[in-house]
Formats: sequence, structure tokens, C-alpha cells
Amino acid sequence: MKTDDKYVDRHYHFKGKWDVPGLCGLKIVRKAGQTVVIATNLYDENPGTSISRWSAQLADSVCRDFDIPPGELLFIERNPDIHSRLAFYQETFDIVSFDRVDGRFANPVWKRISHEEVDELTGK
Amino acid sequence: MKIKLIYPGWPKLKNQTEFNLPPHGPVVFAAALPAGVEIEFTDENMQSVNFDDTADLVCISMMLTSQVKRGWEIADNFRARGQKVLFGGISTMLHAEETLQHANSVFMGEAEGHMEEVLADLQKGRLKKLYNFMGKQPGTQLIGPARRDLLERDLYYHKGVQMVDLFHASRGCKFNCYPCAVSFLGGRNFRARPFERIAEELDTIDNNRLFVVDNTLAQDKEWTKELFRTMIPFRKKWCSHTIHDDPDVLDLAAQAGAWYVYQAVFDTSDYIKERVKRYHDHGIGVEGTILLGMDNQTEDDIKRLLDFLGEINLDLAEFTVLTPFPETKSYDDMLKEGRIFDHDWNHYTADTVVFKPRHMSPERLQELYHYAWDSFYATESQEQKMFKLMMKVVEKEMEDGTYRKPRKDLMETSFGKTLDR
Repeated sequence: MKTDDKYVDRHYHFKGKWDVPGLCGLKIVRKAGQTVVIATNLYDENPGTSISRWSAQLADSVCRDFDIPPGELLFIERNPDIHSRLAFYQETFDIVSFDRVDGRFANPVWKRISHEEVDELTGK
Repeated sequence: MKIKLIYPGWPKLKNQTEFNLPPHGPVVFAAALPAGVEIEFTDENMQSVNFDDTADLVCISMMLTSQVKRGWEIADNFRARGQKVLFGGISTMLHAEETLQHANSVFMGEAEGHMEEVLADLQKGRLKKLYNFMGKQPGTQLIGPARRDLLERDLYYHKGVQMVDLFHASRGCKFNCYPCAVSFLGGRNFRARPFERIAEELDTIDNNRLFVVDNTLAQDKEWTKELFRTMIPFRKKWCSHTIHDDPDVLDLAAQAGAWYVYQAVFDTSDYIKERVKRYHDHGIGVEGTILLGMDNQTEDDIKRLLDFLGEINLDLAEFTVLTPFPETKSYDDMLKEGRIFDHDWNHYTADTVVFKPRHMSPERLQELYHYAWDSFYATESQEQKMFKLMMKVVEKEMEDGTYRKPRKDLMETSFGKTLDR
């Protein structure tokens, strides 16, 4: 995944499930009172855990590494279109909401949104 | 030191003719144990577990999700008797958090090069709760010939005919397919065993028929060709997963003894039709593996797919329903969309619908799954088709002098049980 992708500004290394190193794309858009983070699954380029399986821990580490107050985070998971013939590899966006348990994100719940809604949220 | 190695039983697919293959994971694991360790192996699909037996360590090796609950029961029973239990294997890695609740220790990753450490900890009374070697795969030169000597060989015969032995020449997979967890389990890099180690192992296998269980033989064309050149002198006949779609590779595969392949049939394209034809042109049979319930399949699509199977001359077909196994993209997607309604791992046998399909009800998909088996085998039963495929390999073996007659002393038994005639 190239970083000139509209929704990927940088690659982010994280420690995934069972400490296996993982890699995802990130776009961070800071607005007054809210920071939108788009995390992109990199599929074959990611040697470790998929971001769907690790979203709460990933949200924790992104907040820590980029000084984002947890209460201001709007976390969006993106699965990019990999131009497969298979429909389940088309582009999707989900807002992931979490509970806060012992100061950490937990219990992710996904809500599908359109890329137009994402663009609206990021002001693009 | 004595280790009791157990492979838990699991329920078989209801529609499939029963056959039991000698397990592979446990005997590969056993090869990673230090010399001098006494190992007693039980395949619970064939033998009863003796809970009164004692050992320094009970090792439970699990491959399938539908094995894990039974594995946990076995562990709970042994631990109640004061025995120490260590879990390992593919489905242990998929279900590690739950398995930890039933174990003294859980081993994550591949065993080669690590078991000395585990057993030293055991002897010092300091067995760790978790040995985590995920993402730290050992060099493939460390993979030794599997300890098939631990198997009770006579159990793996049907009417005197020996079942295939399982064998692997590589690990890992560069592909990351929708319903598959291999990239999580074995890493996303294709890791080939050295050819001399492959030859060394082939030389130890007292069976003229094999199942090459590599995830696919379509990852590296030049390596695959060299693998087949390595296999030719052993004159084994074998089945495998997909082989690289290249005439030179298929030529060499045929020379190396390719008997039949498991080929996914996922659409009704000319590509699939030609793919099957190219195998047949090289004298290689094809068992279609057909996954039902994908999000791009409507009821009509499934019916068209079943009609198509009749047009492409498959030798056999095996139908399964999409099953969202942990650590797969299908699991992620289904979980996100709240579509998994059955979390009983005993139902994750790939013949039971445990999720809400996109285009039909779970009940309708279940009906279509049974209809698929019935319709494909309506005019010729699975046993008849298997017999034909068996005759193809017998002909090849007769030609090159490798045919072995069925064992007379086991003609009246099937997988260790006397046949009811």
C-alpha cells in the first residue's frame, strides 16, 4: 500500500497479538475536540495481526504514540480495495467504537460507513 | 522422561465416506523432541485414551477447531489426576486464550529447536504457562523426518488397503486467502525444506502413496519443479493441494507420481474448466473442493455452480460450508457485522452453518449443502467414484512395478474394526 493513498499518510508498526510485529496504514486528522484516525489493513504487507483483530489495542497504542486524548478519538477501520474478483475485498470503512475498561479501549463494535461519510468526517 | 502424546478425536463430516489418515502434526512434533524421550502416542480417532496411565508430561496436539473442546476435556481429566498438560498445534494457536484455561502450559509456534528448553523447565519444576514462539519460525533444516514409527500402522488400513501417509515439503504461505488461517499460523513467507532433508524423509516412509500436505504447490515455480525432480526417484504416488498451472510443472508432477489434486472450484469460468482439463491432460485426477456460502453466492449461483461441476468431469467433489475460523478475514468480517450466531467450536466442522449468509437464510444454506452432496453423487456414489480414482493409481503402480497388494490379514477390517458383513 503506497503512502500516497488518499487514506494513508504513513505506515505504522505495532506489536500485535502474541507480540508478532504488525503493520498498518494510518491517516490522522486533528480537529477541535476530535481526532479522526483511519487505520488501513495492509493485508499481504502486514506480517502480523490484522487490525480488525487488534483494534482496541491498536487504538490504545496510536493514542499513546501520537498524543491523542482517548476521549477525542474517532477510530475508523478501513479495508482497502485490492482489486480482487471477490466482493469481500472491496473497500469498506467502519467506525469502531469502544468501551473504556481500566483506562484502555475494549469491546469494539463496528458500524459500516461510506467513503463519502469518511471524507466528510475528515473534511476532505 | 516419558511423554504421553494425544491427538483428540473429532466428529467426521456426515456426508463423507469415513476414512482415517495417519496424523501428521503429532509425529512432526515428536521429531522435535530430544533423543531419549520415551513417547507413547494415542490417536483418539482410532484408540481410547488411557487416563490411568502416568507420564512426566501429557502433550495434546490439536489440528482442528472441532478438536479443541475434546482436547480441553482430556486435559481437565489428566490434570484432575495430577498430571501436567502441555498443548500445541494449529488449533491450539487459534484458540490459545481459551486453551490456557485448561493447560499447565501452551506452546505457540513451531516446535523445532525449542523443546529442549520446555523439557528442561519441566524437569526444574518451572514449566511456563506460555511458550510464545509466534512469528519466530525455525529454520526448515531443523525439521526432521516425522516419527511415523509412533503410529500403530495397522489401524490405518481399509479392507487391506493402506491409507496415504502425510508428508510436507514446505511451510508458510505467501497467499492470504479469505477463509484460511495459514498466514497467521505459519507466517506469510513461503519456507521450503532443503531438498536433501525432503529426500531423507521420503526414504523413511514405508508407503507407496502419500498426501503432500503443503498449503499449495503453487508458490514458487522453480522450487516446485525441483521438488518434483527430487521426488521422481522414490516412485511414490501422491495427492496434494493445487499445483502451479504451468505445463512444465505439470509434466514434472506427473513424472513424480501426481495422482490427484484438490482444486478449489469457486466459479463457473472457462479458467476453472481449462484448469481441470490441464490436470487431466497430464493424467492427474481432480477432486473439486467447493466452498458454499460465500458472500458473493446467491442460491442461483450455487445451483449454477453445481450444474457446472457436471460439465468439468471432476473425479470427486467435496463440499463444505464457509466457516469463520478464528484468525481469518472471514472471521473478522463476520464478527464486525455480527453475523456469527453459533460459537460452539464442536460445530465448526465445515458441514454446519454457524453464520448468517449474505443472500439466504442459514437454514437454506444448510439445505443447499446437503443438496450439493446428493446431486453430485446422484448417478454414481462417492464410493464408486473413489474406486475409479483408486484404479487409476493402481494402473500407474502396475506399470512402474510399485503396486502393493492389499494385506490379506487386514481384508476383513476397516480402520482397526472388524467389518460387519
